Amino acid sequence: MDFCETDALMNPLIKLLLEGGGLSTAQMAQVLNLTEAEVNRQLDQFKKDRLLLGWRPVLNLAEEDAGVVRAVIEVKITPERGGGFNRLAERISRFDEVESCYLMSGGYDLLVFVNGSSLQKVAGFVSEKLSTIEGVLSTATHFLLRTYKEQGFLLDVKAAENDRLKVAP
Amino acid sequence: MDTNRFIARHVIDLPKSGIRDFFEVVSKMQDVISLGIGEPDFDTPWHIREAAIYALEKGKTHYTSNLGLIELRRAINRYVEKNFGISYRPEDEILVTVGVSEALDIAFRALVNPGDKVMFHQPCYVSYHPSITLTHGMAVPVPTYAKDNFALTAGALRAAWQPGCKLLMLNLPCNPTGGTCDRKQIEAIAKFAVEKDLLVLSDEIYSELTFEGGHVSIAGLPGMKERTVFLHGFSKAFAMTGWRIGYACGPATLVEAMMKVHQYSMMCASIISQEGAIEALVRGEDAMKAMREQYQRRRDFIVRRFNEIGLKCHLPRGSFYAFPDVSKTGLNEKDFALGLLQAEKVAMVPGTAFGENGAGFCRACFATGYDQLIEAADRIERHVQKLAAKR
Repeated sequence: MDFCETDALMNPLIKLLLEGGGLSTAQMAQVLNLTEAEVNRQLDQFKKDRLLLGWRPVLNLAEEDAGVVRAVIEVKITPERGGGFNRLAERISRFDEVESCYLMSGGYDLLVFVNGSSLQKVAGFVSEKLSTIEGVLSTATHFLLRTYKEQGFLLDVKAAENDRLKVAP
Repeated sequence: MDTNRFIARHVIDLPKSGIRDFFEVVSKMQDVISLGIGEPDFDTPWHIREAAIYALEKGKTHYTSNLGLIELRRAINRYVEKNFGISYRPEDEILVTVGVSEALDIAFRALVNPGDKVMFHQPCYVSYHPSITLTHGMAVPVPTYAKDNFALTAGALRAAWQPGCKLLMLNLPCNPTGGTCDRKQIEAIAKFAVEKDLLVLSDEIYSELTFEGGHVSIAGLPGMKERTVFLHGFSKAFAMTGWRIGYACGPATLVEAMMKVHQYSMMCASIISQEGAIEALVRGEDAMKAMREQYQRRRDFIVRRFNEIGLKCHLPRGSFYAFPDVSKTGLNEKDFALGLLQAEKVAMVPGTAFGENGAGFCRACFATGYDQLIEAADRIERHVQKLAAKR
């Protein structure tokens, strides 16, 4: 099954996943009138097609419990004939420390989200690994101090108490 | 002292809402899954709430024009023209009201003389019949049927019509049935209205929540704008029920008449709600469409489940209500709903709360999360099976 972008977004299972309700496969099967086996088969197919890359929990940890220091790094690199920014961007993306990596318009080329267990480790990654790669011209590192919203979830806002009427006209 | 004797006769005689009776029972119970709530489960989109906060910060705390903020009336005109194909002059053909409920109330008060007959299809929203009674009009209910997917037919109108009918009240898509009419059916209704010289009040509050086939407004048909008062609001499409904001559009003379009642009773709608409403109309379309898409998936699920369970349910083409037939269980709608509530803690509203033509049916609002809907369907299934085993 090949997906072009529009096809994928029209798929009822993908739509349900994007709603973010956190339903089990059994529940998704019920909603979509499919067997659970069919839901699993489709999910496997999405993974094979690399449409669905994986699942990660979005945790709401206090900064001190998280044990993770995160930084966002603006990186200027030299584009190469034939490949542009791709080879270097991919090379940088492969480091475990790199959470996300984007090619940007504007004053720098790559925006790289990095995490590590301590400030020193992140700083070490930048000075020893990232900035020493041939073709990396400069880096500007900004450490994240506090998270307010993560992947669409508000962190410090408690869910409003449900004060809806139980029956209304 | 017997204070009852001070109450006006027509209010004393007004029956208590069937919904309120049911609410009394449900509100005393814990852990109920309620399919009885007639409103979106979504909170108002943040950008709309934020616009209202900003308006407060900027000192927008005063009365507005009786008709409503001119910026809002202009936005309403653009929105209605784009989505319904009807243009109304912001200066004198649009009145901003405290929800469609107020629009309806002032329309009846402005238009009904004692004894005037008002036709409306039934089952219907709970307030239509009492609102007519409160203005000393005479209610002429017109039944809609499951076999027609609860669409209103010109044939049923013709059968119910009697001399003295002056107004025709429409609510398409309809609360509680989700029934609506296609273009051909609307055209037949319009023809009937012209033939009998009826003025149409069209409550189109669920129009954005039309899932298939598109919504057709009777006001947009040739010759109908001049004999239609178009009523709409923000509660359902933009999840703004608590804001109490709506509007009425129609011929300037009628809007002026309604405005007279409005200015002496309400003065104007809340300025904060009006500011939020402008934001909803100008930038609310994407969030509205996302909500509609979710309602549609939930509808497909719950209607399929009702039919699997053996409670025959038509596919509601609009609104967020399913209206399954519970008569197969051998119980009437009230006993079924009460039994379900007591045995399985699932609340559905008995169809007769929406008029006698709702007998045998219950209203299930599917504007609630999937986990709740799935669980509710399983509980209803268990209850229906138990009832079948008993018989």
